[in-house]
Amino acid sequence: MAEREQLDSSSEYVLVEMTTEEHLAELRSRLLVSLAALTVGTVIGWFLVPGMLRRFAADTARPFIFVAPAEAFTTYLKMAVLLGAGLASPVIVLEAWRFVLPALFPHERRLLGRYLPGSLALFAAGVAFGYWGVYPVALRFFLGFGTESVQPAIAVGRFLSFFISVTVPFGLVFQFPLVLSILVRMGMVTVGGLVRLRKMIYFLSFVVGAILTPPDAVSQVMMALPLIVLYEITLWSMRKGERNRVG
Amino acid sequence: MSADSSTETAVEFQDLVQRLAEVRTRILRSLGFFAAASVLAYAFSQRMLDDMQRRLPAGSELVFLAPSEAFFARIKLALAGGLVLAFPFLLYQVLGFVSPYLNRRDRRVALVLIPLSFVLFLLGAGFSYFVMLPFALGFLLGFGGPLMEPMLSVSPYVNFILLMVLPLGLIFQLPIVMVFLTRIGIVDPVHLARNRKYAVFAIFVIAAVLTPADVFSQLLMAGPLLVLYELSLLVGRLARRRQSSSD
Repeated sequence: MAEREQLDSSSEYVLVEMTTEEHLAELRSRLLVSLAALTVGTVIGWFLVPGMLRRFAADTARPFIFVAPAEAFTTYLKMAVLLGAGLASPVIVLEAWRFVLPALFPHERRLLGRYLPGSLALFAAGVAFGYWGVYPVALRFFLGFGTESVQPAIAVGRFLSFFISVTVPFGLVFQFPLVLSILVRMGMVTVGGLVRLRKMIYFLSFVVGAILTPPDAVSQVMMALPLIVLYEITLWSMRKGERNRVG
Repeated sequence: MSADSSTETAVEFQDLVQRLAEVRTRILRSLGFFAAASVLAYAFSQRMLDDMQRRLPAGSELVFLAPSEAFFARIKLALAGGLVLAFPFLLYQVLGFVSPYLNRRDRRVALVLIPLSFVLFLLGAGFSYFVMLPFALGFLLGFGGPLMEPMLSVSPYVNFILLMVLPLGLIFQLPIVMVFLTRIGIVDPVHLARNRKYAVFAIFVIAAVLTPADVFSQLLMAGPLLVLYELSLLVGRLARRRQSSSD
């Protein structure tokens, strides 16, 4: 294995032949390792759930209710698995990376090596933005509609869906700069073209915000604005890069 | 000669028309049974709901979250109860239709099997309702702890109970199915005993499909299924021995 890696990292491309069975066996072992990581993560997550629930209950300032007999149990389990997936994600990404690696040419590998960390960092940044930025604002906004006569009693399963819908999609839309720079690299659009598309992209940001978030104006705007900011930052940095290249 | 065959066709055609007319009356009669049984069950639906509420740990009450929810929960109960009550009659209708094609012995066996199957169904449903259900509810409702308080809504509650009770009634038919399959030679008790591990796996899969989506009720259902499987093996072996001694 070490020898193979050495061969791969040399500038000359060396095809390492593996039979289909070998690939399948490798896939199997990598899946098993990922699954084991997920299991361990879920077990650890199981013990983290009460703390998380306590924080959620503090956020809504009241205990949750559950309306279906199994709801408390299934929600607890879902949270444990989600936490487990988060904890296991480094292992899973690493396993996927190692599995794909032999199939790539060195230049592809370099490209992926450049984009993958950025993509992961953007995903983390998006989720963090959702958690610290959008989630408290959206929750306060919605709970603010409660009055003396309309009291909140929030079902825990629905709360979890709400929470997921204001965090995870942000990780996805934060990939936007990456998509833009890949498009430019591939020559599908030029930086000038992107500038001309500005109005369109502003509009599409709001459309995406409407589709990916809970159906309300607040979280829509809170998704559209970062998208626009990300777009402007990407444009700015690409222009600067171009200018540097020219100059 | 041609006249002869044409009268034959005419007789066959008339026969077919008669059979179709019989199917029609039997379907109508079955629907009538079902409707009457459902009306009867509706008359008792309030009492059924009250009793279901008493299965809950002390002090728990049922709520409904949508204006029509309580009404539809009772309709659902009435239809489920009606189906259960009418089912033996439906089977008798099927039997009545096919009985001209059965020999006397098979007809007698079928006549006995229908009430036997109904009794088994009631046993399974009763076991589920009186033994498994309080157990499952105690676990699931206690799971919430101080952060998740049960405020069960009637429609999910009724669904939960029906999903727990009706499948077990069906599963208790397993001994009949096994005896039948053994008699017509499709399965062989010795072979079944040897392949027990596949049966155990299948049982857990079936339990996962049939129960509400949580691991706990799956285990609760898999237990009795395993017992029934062994029981069926025993019965099948007896049937096999009787058969071979009578041959």
